[in-house]
Amino acid sequence: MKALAGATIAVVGTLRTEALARAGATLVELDPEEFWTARDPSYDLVVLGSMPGDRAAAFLGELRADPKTRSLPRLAVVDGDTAARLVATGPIAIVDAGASDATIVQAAEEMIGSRDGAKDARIAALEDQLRSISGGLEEAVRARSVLAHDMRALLAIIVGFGGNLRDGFAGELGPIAKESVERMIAAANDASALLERYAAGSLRAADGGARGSAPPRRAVRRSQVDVGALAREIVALLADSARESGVSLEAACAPAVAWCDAVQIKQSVLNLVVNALKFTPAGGRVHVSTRRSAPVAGQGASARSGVEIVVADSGPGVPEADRERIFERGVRLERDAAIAGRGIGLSVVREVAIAHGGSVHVEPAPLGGAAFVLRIPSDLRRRQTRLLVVKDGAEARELLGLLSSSSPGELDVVRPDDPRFASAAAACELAVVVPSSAELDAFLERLRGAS
Amino acid sequence: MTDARSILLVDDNPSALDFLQMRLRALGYRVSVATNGELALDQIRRDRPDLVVLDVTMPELNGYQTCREIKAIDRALPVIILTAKTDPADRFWARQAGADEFLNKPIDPAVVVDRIGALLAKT
Repeated sequence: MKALAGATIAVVGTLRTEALARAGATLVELDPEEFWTARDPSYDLVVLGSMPGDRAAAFLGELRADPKTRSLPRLAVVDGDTAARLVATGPIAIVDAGASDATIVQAAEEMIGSRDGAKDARIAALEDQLRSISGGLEEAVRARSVLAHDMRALLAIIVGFGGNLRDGFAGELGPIAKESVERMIAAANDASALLERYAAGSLRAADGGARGSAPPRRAVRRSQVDVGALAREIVALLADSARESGVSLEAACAPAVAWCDAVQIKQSVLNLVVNALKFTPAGGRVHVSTRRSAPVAGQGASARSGVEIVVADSGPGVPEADRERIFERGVRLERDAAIAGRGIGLSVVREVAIAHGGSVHVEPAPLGGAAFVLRIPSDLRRRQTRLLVVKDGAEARELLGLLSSSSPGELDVVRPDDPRFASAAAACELAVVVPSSAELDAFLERLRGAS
Repeated sequence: MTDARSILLVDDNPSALDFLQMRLRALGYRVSVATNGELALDQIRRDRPDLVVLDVTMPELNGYQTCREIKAIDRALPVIILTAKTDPADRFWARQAGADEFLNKPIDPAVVVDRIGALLAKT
């Protein structure tokens, strides 16, 4: 039970209120219209006194129906006839109008206490739920970590015996057998790297996520990667399955170095080539090529020069109306229902492209089918020239400070009088220059010289 | 080359290190295997190997505890921790336990044998 001191009580109708006031409650006396104008849910209790006719029952009915007030505890201090009509209006304490002050105070205290009790119970239930969710999450993380560990231990056996085979510890291998073993080892090592990211939570499982769900955020671990070599490696890896399908798989992959996540790009190229092989009938062709791409004006991040990987096939192609949506997670074209797949592979390619600041699209291929073009911007650390001229002053210096701290390692601040200026201006996409008024002409001269 | 050197491999799943056993034997090492930390310590007390390769995830006495016990028996006995645990903290625990080398699975067996050779060359 809770004391009334400090409680705020709405009093509606005619009632002896002295006892409640003496017990320390703040009383707000309202007629029903005033009560409904305010619809204030912050009262600790609504006490209903005598009202003419059936108004008490009507008032309580409304109180129960209104979402703002329905959880307010209520006490009716009414005569016996009215009490009988109030029973059907939901949870309520009813005290006879002739009851003693002590009885009314006790009933009020009990009702306020019951609300606090209910609140405490709700909080306890929520805490239980939170504990349960949190425990479940911890368990899921632990299970994921254990799974990754056990998988790595198994992959270690493949890599271990593979290494022994490769090095002739089980007899000499011919060149084809040796190359096959090397590919097995490389694939097992790639699987291990993927698992590590999975365990770290930085990469969702490839088949996770429902159709139309937000794409997973991918952490990109960049290094200088020859995407041409990587594409050739994928083509070699899939040569046998292409042969078995009666599809000619060709590669014309010039060296093309990009600043990208090798594992993610490898996975993307693999997805594209597997996709092309799947949809190209026997007797058809799949052609994989890499090339440097020129910047395209007005295309934001993808306007930078970069590397393009093109996977073209002689299959049925992709109808124009479907060229966007086939990259959505879980989307498959109706005509492809007979071909195995879950609509995941292309969405992964798009997520990887976006994570790299690049793009992927499909267009008609010269071979007659579809050509998927995955574009990765070049090394972001060496950008095209683009200059922003900022006048000298406190604001400019503050802006520079903000930019430097928000993009560490990607922003060079070089003043025009710096000897590195000419080369920096030529190599950077964004150079922020802070000239004083006197320096401006000289700066423009030097800029013209640099470009 | 190293025909007289003996290596003790410790893993609760002995087949997990079969590939290493195969390679080491072919290279002329004497190889013995223990399937838990206690058995490894018994073997070390009985017949001191030249080097120990230890897994971490083992019931009762884990790899780090076993490593500490080994170093208490013979501080100079080289120990390589070879584990699928990749958390940076594990590298720390291995160093705390006195391990001479910490290697992650999967790993090219040629690299493991190189490390074994390098550690043995120091003893």
